[in-house]
Amino acid sequence: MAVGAVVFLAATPAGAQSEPPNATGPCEAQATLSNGVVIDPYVSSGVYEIPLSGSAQYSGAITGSVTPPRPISGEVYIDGPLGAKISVFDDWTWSEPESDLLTESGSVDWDLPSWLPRGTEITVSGVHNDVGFVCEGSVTVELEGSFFDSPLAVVSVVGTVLSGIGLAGALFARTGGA
Amino acid sequence: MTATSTTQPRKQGRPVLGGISGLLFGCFLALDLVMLGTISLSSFLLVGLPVLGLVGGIALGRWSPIGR
Repeated sequence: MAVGAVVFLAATPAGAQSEPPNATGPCEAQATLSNGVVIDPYVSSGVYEIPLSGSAQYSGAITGSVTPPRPISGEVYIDGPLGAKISVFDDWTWSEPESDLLTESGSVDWDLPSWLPRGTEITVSGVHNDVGFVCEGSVTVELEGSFFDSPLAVVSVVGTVLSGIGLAGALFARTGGA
Repeated sequence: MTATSTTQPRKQGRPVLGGISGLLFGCFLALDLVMLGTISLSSFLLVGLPVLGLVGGIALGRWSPIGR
């Protein structure tokens, strides 16, 4: 459903930068965050900073010419390395042979774990396949905060130093047997 | 006369240490770069750096140029 695309927008809110739209196809998808920021990939794009916890109102619609019921499918995913698609929730993928759905709206709130890295750009993409057209777009988000706000940063830095020391140790030959 | 032969202790590399350390170094370095926002979550370096670390670490460990 287009719902999934809208939900992902609402679940990945932010403070916006104005860049060219990054969505195509006869659909609408919009999310308004609790802090007043509006995300609409059909109007503008950019990197959106989202708080660890918050809420949003979302809405979405099919504006293309369709005659329900009709088969639809689609998915929302995080762009991973080497083209990998990371699907986080079950409702991020949908496929229905006979759907009457044309619009959807609702609200969502979230409270993300504090260990998640801040400042990491995450691209969330969505695609909706309908009869005769495809809607697709993406939003780039990052969590508010700085590098050391996440305990994972300390683990990462310490791990880099320790493994670097181990790597340096491999430079030294050892006395072998026989 | 009797010939005396002196046997030097044989020096070996540390490919296992190099491989493990290189792999971990590549993983942590990739994590650092992602968290610093230098590379995105979809960058091929997320996979490339650990692989490069593994291969480079093994090569470095086999070579072990110091102390031979």
